[in-house]
Amino acid sequence: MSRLPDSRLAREHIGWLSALVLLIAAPLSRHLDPMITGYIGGLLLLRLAAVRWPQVKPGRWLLLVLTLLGTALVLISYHTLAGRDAGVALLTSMLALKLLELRRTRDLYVTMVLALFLSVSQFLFDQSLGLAVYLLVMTLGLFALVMDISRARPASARLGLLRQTLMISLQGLPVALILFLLFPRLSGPLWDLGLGGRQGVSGIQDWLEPGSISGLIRSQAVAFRVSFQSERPDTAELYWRGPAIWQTDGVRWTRAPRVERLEPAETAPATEERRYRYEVTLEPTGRHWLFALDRPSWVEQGARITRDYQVLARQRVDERRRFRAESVLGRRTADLSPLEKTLALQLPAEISPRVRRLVETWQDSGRSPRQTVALALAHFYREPFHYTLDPPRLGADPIDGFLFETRRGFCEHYATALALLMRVAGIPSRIVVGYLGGEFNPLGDYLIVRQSDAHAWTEVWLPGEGWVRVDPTAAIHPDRVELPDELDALGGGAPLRFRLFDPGPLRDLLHGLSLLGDTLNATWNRWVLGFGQQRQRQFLSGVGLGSLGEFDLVLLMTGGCLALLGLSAVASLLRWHRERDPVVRLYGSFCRRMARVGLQRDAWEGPRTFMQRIGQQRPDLAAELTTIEQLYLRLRYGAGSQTDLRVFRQRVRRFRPGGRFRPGGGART
Amino acid sequence: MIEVNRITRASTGSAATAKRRVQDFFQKRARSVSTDAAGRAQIGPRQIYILPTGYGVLYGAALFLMLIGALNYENNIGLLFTFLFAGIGLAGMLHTWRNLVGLVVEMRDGAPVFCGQKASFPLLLRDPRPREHAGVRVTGPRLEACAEDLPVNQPRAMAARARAEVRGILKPGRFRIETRYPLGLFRAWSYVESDVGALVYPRPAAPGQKPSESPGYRPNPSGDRGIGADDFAGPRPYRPGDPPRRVDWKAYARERGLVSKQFGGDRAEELWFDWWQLPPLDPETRLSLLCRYVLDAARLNLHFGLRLPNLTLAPQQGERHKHRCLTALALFPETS
Repeated sequence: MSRLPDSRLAREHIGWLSALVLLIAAPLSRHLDPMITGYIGGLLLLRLAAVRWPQVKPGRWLLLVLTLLGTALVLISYHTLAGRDAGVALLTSMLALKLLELRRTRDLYVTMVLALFLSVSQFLFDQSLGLAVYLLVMTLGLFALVMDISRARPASARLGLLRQTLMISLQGLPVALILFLLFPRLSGPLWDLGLGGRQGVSGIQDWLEPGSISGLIRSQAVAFRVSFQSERPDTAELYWRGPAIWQTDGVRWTRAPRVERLEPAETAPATEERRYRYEVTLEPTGRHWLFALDRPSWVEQGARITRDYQVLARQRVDERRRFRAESVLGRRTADLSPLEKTLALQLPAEISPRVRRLVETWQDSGRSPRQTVALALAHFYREPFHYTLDPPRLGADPIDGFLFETRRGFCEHYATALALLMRVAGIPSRIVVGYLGGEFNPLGDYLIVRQSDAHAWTEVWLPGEGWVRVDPTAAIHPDRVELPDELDALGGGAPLRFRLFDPGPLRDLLHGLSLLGDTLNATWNRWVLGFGQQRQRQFLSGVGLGSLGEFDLVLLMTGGCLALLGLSAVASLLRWHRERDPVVRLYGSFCRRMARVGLQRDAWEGPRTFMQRIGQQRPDLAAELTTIEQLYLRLRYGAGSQTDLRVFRQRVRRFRPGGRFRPGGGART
Repeated sequence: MIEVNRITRASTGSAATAKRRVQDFFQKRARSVSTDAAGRAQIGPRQIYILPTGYGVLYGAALFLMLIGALNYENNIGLLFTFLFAGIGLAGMLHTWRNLVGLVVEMRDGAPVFCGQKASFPLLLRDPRPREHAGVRVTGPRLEACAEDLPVNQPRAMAARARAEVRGILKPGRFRIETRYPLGLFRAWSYVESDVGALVYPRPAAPGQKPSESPGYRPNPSGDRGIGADDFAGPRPYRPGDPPRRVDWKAYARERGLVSKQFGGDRAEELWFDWWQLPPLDPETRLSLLCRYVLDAARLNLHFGLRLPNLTLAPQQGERHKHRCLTALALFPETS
């Protein structure tokens, strides 16, 4: 007969379950050891083959051997059974083995729970929107399968089954959202399985030597995204400040920790200062520094601004980090401290005579430092200096070689060369690395800054003006900027300083699509992945619940869920009462209509007596009343069919007793 | 019977007794749906119990693990999925409850069976509203579970079967109507009071048991009445006025003309199956034997009577008489 709770599984269900598990486990092949992937893939294919040809299904002993083999393989690949990778590998192989001994519905339930677990554990490897959508679809498939199992017989309409699954998930969504928004987050991990993720983070370093930035320029990876709360500054002012670099040995330039320890100096307000407030979502860097618009004046808790205007976070940025900051443009900085002065004039042990001679030509008596800087920039403009991604190799004295021989370089070459030249000329200077520009995404109203926007520039200290930004790269003659072929493919996404040509309509379309994708990704990052403790607090204070403690949150959350459940239960109850018996309800409506024309049904009057009485008083309605009475009696006390009910409903609804008495005619209108 | 029960209870110890007491306590206080005069019971929203199934507990435990893991690693997408699964589970709970609300159950008396066979109680499930009810299961302490899906506006007939182990009237009594649809995480159930029953005839003794002694073949006290209805006496030509049932239509078909079958009758000895004439066995065995005699005699279309300590059924023949006799045997008061 029909299925009971723990009956044998149909072959069809085994097939579907195996296929779903295979699809759920498939993305893991990117992360697991190839040997394990092969083993699990083999098991799953064997399972699928056994659905078609049951004789290939391994027996109990072979299963035992396979189980031992799986454990051994995990041990060989990872040397442990714990930890993220080994744990997930073990879970997946056990799941695949469980599939090979599916017999009863109970087995299916256990497998389904394991598969749900496996889906969620995949987010330890990859948290992309694509994977989330994929796994959502697959897990809904699992729910549909369980729904089919809970029926007495398999559903005849697959589509109906999917529709119901979708409906239940949509009904579960409000509860999920309440829980997600209100569930208190932990401030730090309870335990650490040592999930890697530091490796392979590329980005700006806190030292500079020729080639350290040009290596980044080919990466389209997003460095950070910025949404401005105030208006946006001009594109030319989008200098995103990272580490400031002071010390040099002639080849490599490094930070000055002693300056960083100093408090920020007072700055003099300028007449024309512009203030920008913005929020940065920084991708993980594995470093402490954050990026802010040059020059930052305020940053939210968890980070501080140093004397050389770096923004340093208290904790290393190992996760995507969101912070708010404020920058002021056009403000004069304070005088140099003795320490800063020493560091900003520090020179490598040897300066080649050619360099000294070049600087001397700019240093005629009476020239102000500002004029010296202008002369240096003019030198870069006039002389055949090229801006290129593929600069030739430089020897032991890279600055000398670059200035007088190769004359081809990238921003780090120009920045270091200018800084050194200024120091030789006695003007304090330092280098700042960071990003320049970024692409505005009109769809999400934010700025995307990519690794390819990495940049380095120079700052010089001028008396009366303080630190002034000087970007020698901007001084190169546009004809001598070499556009690399790879960047040509980027179209509008190419870094600002290479975006010289019209990308064309198809590129524009593709670029628009990629902007849309980035918007989705940014929204995903912001509202799902980044919704940690900090963001939750922000959200709660945004809706006026900022004062709630964790205990209150739990109460609110539980209350919210219970209220939702209660509301839907009450809604069902109301519907139940309304729909309890359509016949009774329709008869009630009929009686009310009669009452309106003055024929009230007495409480003791059964349908027959009532009909008889009103039939006598209103002979014009007699024919209609008889039909209604017969239908009612049949539906209520006899074997009324669905057609009867339909006709009854129609008759009652159309029934208009009216007030007029029309002899000889029916009451039909 | 009772003796046996006492022994089992004593041997299983106090734990089982306590469990039984707890069960009885809840059973007595449990709300149940009562049936109306027509034997129909409509399940109302407040008569439904709901608890997680074992699988539901497993699901909850897995969600808890996912929650801890996701919280620990600040894995918000994992958290979102976990909460979505929790939300789906809760929505499933509502659906499970709603899957029973409004269902009308109608159980009818079952046809008589012999002891040892299965009685079958016809069940009708429907919902006057246009609602689907899937995976509705009927079960009870004495009933074998059966399940059915109800598409929108389609009543379903099914049969709840119960093994008849004691002769008499088998009453399934309060039974359970339950569902785990849609997700199997929760089980919702309602108790339905039913007053239906099925007659259980005694288990017939093994066939071929001839009445051991002269079971009292007696001449018909009213003597040979010549023409009767019982024993075929031979053909005779048709006379107008003979009932058509007596006409030998097969002979007519063989073109032998109209011939009437003549019955000599009612002169055979009367067969009496008598409780007191049986060997001194225990009552149930005697009833089994009597049951066998009645069945055999009815198969041979004999004329027989039944004499029990509490009642006597005059000799007759035919299906109705057989059932009257079997009913008498079934309802024979238990002697202990």
